[in-house]
Amino acid sequence: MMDTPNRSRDAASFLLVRPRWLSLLSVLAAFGAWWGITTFALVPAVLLPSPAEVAAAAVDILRNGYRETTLAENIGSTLWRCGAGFLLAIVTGVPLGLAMGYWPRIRAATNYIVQFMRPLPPLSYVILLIIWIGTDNRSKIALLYITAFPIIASSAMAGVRSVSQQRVQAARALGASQWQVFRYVIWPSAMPLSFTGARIALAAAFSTVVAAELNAATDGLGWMVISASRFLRNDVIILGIILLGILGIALSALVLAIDRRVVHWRGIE
Amino acid sequence: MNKPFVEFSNLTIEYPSRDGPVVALAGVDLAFSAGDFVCIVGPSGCGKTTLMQTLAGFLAPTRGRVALAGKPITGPGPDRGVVFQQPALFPWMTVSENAGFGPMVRGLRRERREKVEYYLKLVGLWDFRNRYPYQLSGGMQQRLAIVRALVNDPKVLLMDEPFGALDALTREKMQEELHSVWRRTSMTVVFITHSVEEAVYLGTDVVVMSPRPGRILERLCVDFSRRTGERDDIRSIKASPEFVATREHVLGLIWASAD
Amino acid sequence: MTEARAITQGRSRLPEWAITGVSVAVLIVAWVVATDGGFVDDLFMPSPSSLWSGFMDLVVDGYKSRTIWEHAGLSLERVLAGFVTGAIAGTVIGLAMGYNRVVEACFSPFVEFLRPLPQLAYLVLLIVWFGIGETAQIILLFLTAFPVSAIAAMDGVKSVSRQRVQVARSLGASDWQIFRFVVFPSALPEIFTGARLAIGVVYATLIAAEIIAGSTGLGWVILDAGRFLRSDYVFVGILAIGLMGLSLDYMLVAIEHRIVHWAGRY
Ligand SMILES: Nc1ncnc2c1ncn2[C@@H]1O[C@H](COP(=O)(O)OP(=O)(O)OP(=O)(O)O)[C@@H](O)[C@H]1O
Ligand SMILES: [Mg+2]
Repeated sequence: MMDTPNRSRDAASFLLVRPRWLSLLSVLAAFGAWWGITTFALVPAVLLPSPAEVAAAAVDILRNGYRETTLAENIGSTLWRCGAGFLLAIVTGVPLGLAMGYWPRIRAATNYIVQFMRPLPPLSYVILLIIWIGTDNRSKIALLYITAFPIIASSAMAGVRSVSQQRVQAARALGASQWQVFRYVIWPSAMPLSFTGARIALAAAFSTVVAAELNAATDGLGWMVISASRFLRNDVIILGIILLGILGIALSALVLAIDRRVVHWRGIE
Repeated sequence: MNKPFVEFSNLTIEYPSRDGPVVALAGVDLAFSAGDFVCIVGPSGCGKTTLMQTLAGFLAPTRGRVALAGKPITGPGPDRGVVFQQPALFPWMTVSENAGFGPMVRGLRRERREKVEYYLKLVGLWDFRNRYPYQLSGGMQQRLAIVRALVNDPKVLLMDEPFGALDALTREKMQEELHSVWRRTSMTVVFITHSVEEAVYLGTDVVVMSPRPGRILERLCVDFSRRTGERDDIRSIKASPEFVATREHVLGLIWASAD
Repeated sequence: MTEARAITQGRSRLPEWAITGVSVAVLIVAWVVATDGGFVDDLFMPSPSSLWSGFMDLVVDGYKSRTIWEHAGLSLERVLAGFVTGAIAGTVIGLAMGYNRVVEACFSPFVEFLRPLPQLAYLVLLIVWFGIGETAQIILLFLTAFPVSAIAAMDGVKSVSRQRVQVARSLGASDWQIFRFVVFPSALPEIFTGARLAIGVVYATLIAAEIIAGSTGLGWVILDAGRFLRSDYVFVGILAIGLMGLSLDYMLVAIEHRIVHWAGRY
């Protein structure tokens, strides 16, 4: 097989269809299958509501809300918890990570705690947080904070430690002070890995927020889905899943866009 | 000259880009016979790699034709071995597995053992046959990449700046090794380089290309490489007035074309 | 050492392991003083002695008719069942996605949708469909591992060196041989990275699965003990979960070092 400069030898071009349209087609096919299964009652209607029912539920919830909460409130409180925990983790985790990367002694004194926390599933201490703090919003935010913090701190640390020795030496030789070396060499060099860590941490926090809304919550998308399952409102569950999926994609796209802007040199070296 | 073995006729290559097509090669006509050692030099970006990729069969001509032994080229094949500037070894295979990759994929078992042993011994890698590429030095890796191409017995060996990343001493040694292999076989070599000295020293033909869009500026027949067969000292050849004059002539062509 | 600090400052009085040791010692002393000194209620933070007796309880008598080992074994079984199936399926689909844009276009909307979706959201649906129990949990873990592995394998295929493929092709390799000898080994390091990520997410999800859809396993022990305010059991459970997670990760790393010994070295 031969590459021609003018024509991609891609199978997609043989089909004369652009990959983007194929993706759309494949999503439509999935919806078609869903519609077919429900229309011809291939599975009991209790188990799988039809697309129309889910759409109706969406309209109903948009108009009347779900059990005295509006959809905007639910989305808002989920995002608020997630964002608050995440931002707290950034504000504390990035400085600690940078310090751990820069000063071996600080790393020696604190790194083992961070590394022990990292592989622990966040939900394993949800109950502990409830015992310590209670069931209100603060314990949920604390849970998301603990989820995001070790990821952010260790990637900021790895970022500092990945700085090329030569670059530091070059800056020193050019007369940069310690602070300037940090400001102009170490900090920007640590950014790509720090941002990668922030992206992973936000994804983890978002996954955990739904779990955090399991216990004693009265709003949030996670709460809506859980509560719907108790009332066998499958249409609301599916609506919640779709909303959470879209929100998840939007969040990661947002962070990726910020990443591209700030760390525009990523992957060029 | 009798019937050409490799023939580019009116070869034009355009790369598509956002601001319209980039013409990398514009009507290249070039032919050479079997057994030639063709060195291609030219300023950076003039289309040397592009030329090699069409002969290798990785790139189809936009216009024109590339033929090997009278047959147009339709894709890569074991009759043409390639060596890049980066060794592009398979790091998950040992040295001897890398060397024997060609016969292995073509199902030539017996041939594989003999050839691998012969060439690895020739370039001094036999003792390293069970190591992995990352355990070799840069020069050794490049030798292995050349062995991997040679073991397949190609009719044409295509090399794109194969010694570009090597230090001066290793480079001269490798030139000698390549040269002695070429003398012993009937192989045709197409050798791209940035070093005019290397080109004039190694080639039977030196092809000088113009800046983009690439064309053939001049083609010189030289015979320093045939002389080394008489075991002349490599340093004295490179210092001889004749060699220096040819080298300066080629350099002058490139400098003039750059203005 | 790529120590940013090393150039600017070489002197050091205490070696770093000693600093870590001192820090651990301070932490332990603070724990003992706070708990045994009566500054913190046993409910909030069990003392070393009550932690130990809690551990012995769990080992000897077990928790709700199963020993701690049995609970750990059940958790491990679920993790492995979900991880192995999900990682294999994800890798196969991911390889195909990296290789062929048609496959990529067809699967990527679902993979991209599934990846950032909180696992608990679809656990609820799985419970409605399959009821509380093993099936729902293992399908959940499968769905958790799948997109992570698929994306890693796809990225691995896409990052394969063009020159290596060209060399192999010019040496006479067929499409299948190029896949078998060049593309697949090239993608292996990323596949392993994906596997480590996947087992981490699966492990985190397992705890959620057991809390909601189970009545056995370490995650459930923690939750149930928490309901009865047995924080000694909760702590033992957390430590056990952490150790098991670390060992799983070390195991994968060991396998990875054996198989992709060349990774990062060329
Ligand atoms: N994939 C591509 N897409 C668009 N333009 C390309 C592509 N590859 C090469 N070119 C353009 O074609 C021209 C010739 O490139 P080529 O790589 O053949 O040059 P070269 O002579 O090998 O240069 P060098 O000596 O630096 O290796 C260049 O000007 C380059 O910008
Ligand atoms: Mg080139």
